Amino acid sequence: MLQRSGSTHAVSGRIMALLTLGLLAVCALSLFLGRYPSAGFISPAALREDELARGLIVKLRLPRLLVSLLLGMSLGAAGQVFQMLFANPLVEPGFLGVSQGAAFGAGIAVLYLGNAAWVVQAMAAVCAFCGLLFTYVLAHRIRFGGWILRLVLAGISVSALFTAGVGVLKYVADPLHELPELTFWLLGGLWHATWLHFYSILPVVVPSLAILCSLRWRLNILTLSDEVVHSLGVSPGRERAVLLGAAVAATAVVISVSGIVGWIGLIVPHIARRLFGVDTRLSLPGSMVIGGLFTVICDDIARTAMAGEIPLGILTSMLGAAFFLLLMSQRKRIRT
Amino acid sequence: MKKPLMALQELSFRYGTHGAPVLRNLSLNLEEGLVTAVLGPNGVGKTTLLYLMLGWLHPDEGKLMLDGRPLGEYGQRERGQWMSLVPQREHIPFEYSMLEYVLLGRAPYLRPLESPVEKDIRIASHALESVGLDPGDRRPITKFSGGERQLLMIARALAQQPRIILLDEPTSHLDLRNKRMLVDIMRDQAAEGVTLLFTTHEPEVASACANRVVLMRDGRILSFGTVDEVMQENLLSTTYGSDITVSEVHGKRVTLWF
Amino acid sequence: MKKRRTAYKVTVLTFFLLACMVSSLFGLEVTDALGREVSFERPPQRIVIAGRGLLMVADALYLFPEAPSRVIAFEKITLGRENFLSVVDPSYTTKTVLPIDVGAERIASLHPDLVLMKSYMQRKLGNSLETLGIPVLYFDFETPDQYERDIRALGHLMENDERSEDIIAFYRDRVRRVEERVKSIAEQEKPRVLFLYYSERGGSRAFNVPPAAWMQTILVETAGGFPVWKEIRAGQGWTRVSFEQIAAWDADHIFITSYFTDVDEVTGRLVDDSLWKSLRAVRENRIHAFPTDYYNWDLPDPRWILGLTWLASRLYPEKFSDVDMIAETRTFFRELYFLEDDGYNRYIRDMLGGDLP
Repeated sequence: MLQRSGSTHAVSGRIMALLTLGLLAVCALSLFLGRYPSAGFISPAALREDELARGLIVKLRLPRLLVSLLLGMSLGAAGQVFQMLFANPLVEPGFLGVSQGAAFGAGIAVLYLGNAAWVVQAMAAVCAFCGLLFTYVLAHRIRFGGWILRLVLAGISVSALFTAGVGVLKYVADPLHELPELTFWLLGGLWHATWLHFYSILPVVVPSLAILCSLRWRLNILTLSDEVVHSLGVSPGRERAVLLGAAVAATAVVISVSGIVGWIGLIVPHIARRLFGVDTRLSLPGSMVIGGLFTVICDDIARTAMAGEIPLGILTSMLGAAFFLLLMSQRKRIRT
Repeated sequence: MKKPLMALQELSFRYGTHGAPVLRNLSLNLEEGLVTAVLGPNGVGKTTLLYLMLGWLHPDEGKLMLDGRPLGEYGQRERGQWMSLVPQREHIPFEYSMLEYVLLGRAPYLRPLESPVEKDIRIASHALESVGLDPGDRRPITKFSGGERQLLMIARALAQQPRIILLDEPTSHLDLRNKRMLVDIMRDQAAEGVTLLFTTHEPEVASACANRVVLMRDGRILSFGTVDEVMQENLLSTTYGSDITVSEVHGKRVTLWF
Repeated sequence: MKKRRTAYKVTVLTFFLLACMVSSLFGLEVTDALGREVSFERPPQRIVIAGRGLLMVADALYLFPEAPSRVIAFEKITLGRENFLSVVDPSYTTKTVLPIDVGAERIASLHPDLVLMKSYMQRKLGNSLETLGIPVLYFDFETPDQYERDIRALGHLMENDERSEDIIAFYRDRVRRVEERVKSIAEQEKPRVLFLYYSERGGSRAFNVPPAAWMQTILVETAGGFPVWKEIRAGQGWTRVSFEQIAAWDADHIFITSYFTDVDEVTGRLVDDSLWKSLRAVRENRIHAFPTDYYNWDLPDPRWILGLTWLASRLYPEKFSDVDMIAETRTFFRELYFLEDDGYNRYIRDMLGGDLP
């Protein structure tokens, strides 16, 4: 029987290797894809001669690719952590007041703080963390239910509060000037991603993902009840806090750049669990790879399909929802 | 008498600052290699006692000593290697396979950044076999029956390779056949030198496999001793607050509550 | 006896006829952009201008000298660098400035006898006002053809058809001047033009192109340019395009406009940008900042005629070498807004921005 478990691991390992190679290939190809000099791929020969094309790839396509990669990996991993810890397949990484907090922060910056790029990004990140803080404090004040129920209730309440705040901001915004900018941020997109954005999110995303990856087997344990976790020699409060903290940090920081890009954190963990099984030792890194793949492909479509840019959030929602329906309508197969 | 493996001295505990006291001045010694049953009606504090022994709850007064040292001095991994818990029931929302699930019991032997290796898989498989399950079966555990789940939880506790196993009402939801299976497992483990303590409200289970019996009532220990010493009609009736008759059938002690 | 009765009838008849003449003298009927015929017993004296895009309606109304004495209120104008109406309306301070997206009740509290707005505001604002019994006239002022029609309607309203014909002649002359000079250019020889609106969306810069039906596209076409972005079939509003697409179009001329930031500063930054430098149009020094004074010259504001003339002069410098844009601007403000030289120097000259001599 040792052989059986080993061989299943071997199969999963092969799938993982394949997906990772696929991701690298898609990334490499994406650098050659764009609207210049015409919609589609640019040939290496043309690249040699065209200085503008080379500049384009290094200054525009590469940083945008890297940011979308980090975005997908973060949201995929964070989504997996949330869905496992909350034992709920319908939660997204932003739902603890993080997404709506970021939207509110961006709105305040666009309307009252001068609309400079770094101010919007910083406010979004700060308010995202504030959202989490409020959720945490509110959860402590709720007197009934287990920790999951309390956090979920608090998260929904805080998100609703921030959503109302965003609604007020939209209402007072100048419809000609400020409102389109705000709405635009809410739709999500990476059309402005530069090296600066990449460097600003790197110091948070890389350590967070590293933490999540190294604790990936422990995540299984933390889905059990508190007493059992304790009996296994693991501190439930502390280790869950570390995992949630890393997941939320990565999420807040990437959505401060990309705006609200939905469905990645929701659908990618499902796909990963289908492919690799529930054991997070594989499904967590799997979520990262699949998340990266999904987002890079969506962003490629967003910037290439039409002459005008399609907001990324629209594409991820459409493709994500389609995938979701597909998954749900399939018969569940037992991993053999 | 041998030095007790675990000693509870004058434990008192209440939930919160204003709750009614659940345990009062409770003292208990756990001897190595023996099966101890904690008997008592529902709500008398048996689960609280287990959680205190586990170190999950902290007593307001009193001390817990494990192998001569205070429980608080043990690191959490070390404590996990000493004691394991089989909870009364567990809700498992994810479709782990049996092996993946039991493998979680290896946590005390792995540092936070480590993952299980070959050796852990071997021990987990062995644990599954010792409760009569097949490690190669890849059925998701969400499809298991209540009895199979109980066996699974015990297998996970065994994978921890503990010196002490604490079980919370292990037989309460099992049918007769599974009860028998569980009692056999407990006896086998004791034979291999593991110390077991289980709580139950069914006197038969105690008489079936316990070496020592503790009667609990109102947060205190009413009586402690061997099955013969403790499972007396008057003591049992006081514990449960209703008339109980004790009889012997085929050399086995039987309690009649109706 | 008979004589007295006849005299009586004659008197009544005369009075009746006089009354009809008098009422037809003061009575007014105007057809608006939506084809509605609205009649007035007396010419409106308490006019309110409201709704989105009201600046175009207001600026057109103020082409008529009667406007200041008849307008009592307008909604706050948020586009543009300063408030142009304060320059052309000497009694501006007595007017009420209403908040943005003002409701029908607030307008009604001013007891207007006419409200002017753009035609797309009918559902949101116009219908409520009409229910309250307040007459509403709708205007478009989006394309040159609509300008002619709507100016005439305003002329009827102001009872100054002569003025509206003067204005229309002013526009026609200048449009004809451009059209005649560029009509000999063959399609494939027309310069490829890219028109971009620079905005800072959500803190990051974005370049947008207009839909085919908008004034900006019409200006480029009328001036004899080929608008490269028409292929996108952009939707109802500005469509964002990436730098890659801008590079792929490889336009001969790039025109930059910006409604909320300094267009000269923006264009200056682009010329220095490492990526933009490699664009052919930038290398050949054919990136231009679209001019502006109080409002940008590419908007469907009366200034569009200046925008058209300027655009043509940039696309075909040799054909329009006789055109002096500053003189054109002075003439525009003198004839259309009655601003003589000192008025022009005081109010307009320093507000000029963009690629002007």
